Amino acid sequence: MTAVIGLIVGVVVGIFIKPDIPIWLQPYLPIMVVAALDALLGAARSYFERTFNDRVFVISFLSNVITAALLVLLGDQLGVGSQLTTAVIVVLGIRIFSNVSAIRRFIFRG
Amino acid sequence: MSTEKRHATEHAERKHHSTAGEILNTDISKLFKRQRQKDSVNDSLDTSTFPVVHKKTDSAKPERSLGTRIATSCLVVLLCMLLGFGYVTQLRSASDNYESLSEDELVRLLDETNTQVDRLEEQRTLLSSQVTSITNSTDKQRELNEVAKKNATTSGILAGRLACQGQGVTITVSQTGMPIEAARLFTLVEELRNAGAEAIAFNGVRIVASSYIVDTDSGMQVDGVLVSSPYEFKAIGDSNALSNAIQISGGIGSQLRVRYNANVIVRTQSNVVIDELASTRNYQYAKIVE
Repeated sequence: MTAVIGLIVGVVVGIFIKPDIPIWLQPYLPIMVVAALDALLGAARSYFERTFNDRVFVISFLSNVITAALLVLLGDQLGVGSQLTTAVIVVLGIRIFSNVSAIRRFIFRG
Repeated sequence: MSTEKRHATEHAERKHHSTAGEILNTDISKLFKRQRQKDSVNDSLDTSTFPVVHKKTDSAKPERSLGTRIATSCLVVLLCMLLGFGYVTQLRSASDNYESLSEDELVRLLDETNTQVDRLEEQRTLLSSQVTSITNSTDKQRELNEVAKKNATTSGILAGRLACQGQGVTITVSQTGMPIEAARLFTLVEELRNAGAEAIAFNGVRIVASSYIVDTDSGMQVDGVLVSSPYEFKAIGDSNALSNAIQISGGIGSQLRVRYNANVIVRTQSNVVIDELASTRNYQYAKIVE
């Protein structure tokens, strides 16, 4: 519940503030958003599995985001930034799909 | 059984005294021995059961305080806020730059832009050439206007429609007794014309191409206007040439003096003003060729 409220508040703030992203953050922000989404869906899944732990969520959220950003940064420095971005997106996408399917199984019992 | 006691008995049994390290060694070896015995009992297949590993109970988890829980939930909200914020921000920025476009799309965009640039360049060339031609034509028009104005001035002076001034001569012919024939005075005008007079006036009448001087019953007439002695001529032109044309020996000046006994006075002047104007006439037969 708090997570949903936080999400809504964040979206509203983003709409009304209209921030300018600094140029160095531009390649990392989409990756970070996807990673955070993955963490959020993982948290939802664990909530349905009755194993949700807010401390674990916070840690996984931060580690997901930081790992994704660092991977892209590493890729940029090695000259394979776009490929590594794609790889990270693919992996996170797969995880998001598996999380969503687990949640679906809990909700619809099948 | 307390370990202290056991140690004490062991000490008693042993005859020799040992160091602390040896004691520890023997203790650990005993510990391992005991564990092995326990394991062999546990792993014995005679009982046909597997060792039971008890799951950690919930009570094993350390209970967290209320403050920590509030802090973590606040952190959860904050992180979710960050996620939403980042999402919206990215959504906004992705829509208005070319970073999200693929290479093909970028190439296509570039091509389109280049085509547009070419088309605009073409249009610009066309328009600038039009501007040049229009400017040229206005220049030409202005030139024509200037020429026409100059022509109008020239022909205005020639036709006697404009007053003019400049160096020239004034000639006064006074009749003493014998009447002077109109033809003589016309000769005088002709001499002036031959000497390059640009404008001539005779007793207040502008002499133009169609002017005539005739003797009538009532007297001498110039363009229908009666004139009488003294006859006053004004002429604009090279004053020396004009006065020479009259004063030359055997010329019209001496003819008038000798034949008619007239007084002919020629004065060269630096500025002769001829403000007499010829009346414009309507041409009945001559039409302008278009």
